[in-house]
Amino acid sequence: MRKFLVVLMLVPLALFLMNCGGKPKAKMNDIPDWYLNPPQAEDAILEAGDAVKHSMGLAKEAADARARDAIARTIEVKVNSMFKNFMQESGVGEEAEALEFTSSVSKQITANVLRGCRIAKRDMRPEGNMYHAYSLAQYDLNSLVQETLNAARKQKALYNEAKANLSFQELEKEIQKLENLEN
Amino acid sequence: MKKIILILILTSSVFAQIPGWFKNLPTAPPGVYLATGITGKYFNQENARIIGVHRAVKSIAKQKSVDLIFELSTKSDGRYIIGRPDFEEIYEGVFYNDILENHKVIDSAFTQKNCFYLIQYPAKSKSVNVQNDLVAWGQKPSWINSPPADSEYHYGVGAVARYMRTTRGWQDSDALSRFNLGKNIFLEVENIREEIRTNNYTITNTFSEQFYNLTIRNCHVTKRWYDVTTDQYYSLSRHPKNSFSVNRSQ
Repeated sequence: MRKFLVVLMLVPLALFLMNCGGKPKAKMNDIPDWYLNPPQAEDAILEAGDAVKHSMGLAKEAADARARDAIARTIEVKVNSMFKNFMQESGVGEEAEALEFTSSVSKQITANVLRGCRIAKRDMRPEGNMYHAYSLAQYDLNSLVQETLNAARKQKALYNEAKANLSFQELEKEIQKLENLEN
Repeated sequence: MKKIILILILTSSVFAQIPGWFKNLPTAPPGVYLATGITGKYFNQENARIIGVHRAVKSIAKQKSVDLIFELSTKSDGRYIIGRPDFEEIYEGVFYNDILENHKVIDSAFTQKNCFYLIQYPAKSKSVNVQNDLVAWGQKPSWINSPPADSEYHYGVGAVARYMRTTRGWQDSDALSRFNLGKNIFLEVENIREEIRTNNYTITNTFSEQFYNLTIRNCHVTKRWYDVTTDQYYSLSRHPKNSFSVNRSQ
């Protein structure tokens, strides 16, 4: 009888301890392969994102948003690199550094417009009472080139320095050239 | 015993039937709009018809033209993540009134839990032939995990789960599919990421914002699927490319 009582007291304690483990974690076998190893393509940027939420709709929103955020960050690096190369080749040299977007090891600011950035793959896995959403965002590089040109048109300060040496059409050619090199 | 009850619930759900045109909306000829409306059960059938038709009319008004305003802000300081999505859908009242006066119900269906209505606008155009068979939800379609992509249309997938009311589930799933489609068309993304490094640890602060304000035309929900085992609702929206305008930058 005493043993039975001890067991009876231990059961709630065990259940309490079992619930202290926090959110359930996804098993490695359950994680989509494209999330762990996002596919590579010459003509597109692919980035993955995931989120665990109680609401399935919110999990999907957050996973999509994280995948697109990752694309925006990748693009910013590419766009900066394109501008930097262009500025160096157009003879502006060191001034280009001062006019670049704010970017340093400690602080990174990105602001982009994504046109035609779509979710190519998506997966939803239940984990206990939660939903684990995985999203793979895909952005066509042609759209990136177009956005870079648009950004160049807007960045008057940046562009004014260069236009004495290089016409706008030449800038477009330069960016296309960089694009071809990357491909 | 529990297993038997579970099997009975599952089998009754698997064989739950809905009209084929609610699952896959038939293609309408140019200039003609089709939309579905769903309600729960009413004692008075006329009340169900009024509500169901009103929902279908609203759906066509949104098909013609809808303003979509989306904003998602996320702040994170390494410990907490605060996400705040905002969705706003605005459609023209003028369109709604016109459709309400010039539509016709071309089919309706009644299941154990719901009433379904299919309407056509304008009423004077030749009635679209639709099959009025009841169908099962069947296997999970491929568009849920791999949204379609082609040169003519943008697509968006909406998903929600565990709704008390089926009608509300479909309403939100349809709306989210339109917002998802909007993000595929145009999205502004702003991101600030700051890393503070000390001797032993790093704190990462991030602020991220994604937003758009678009007007899209001729967008409609073409397919729906319900996962009977997990109570999940899925909608697929389709929209012809270049049939949109960007309203303003925030």
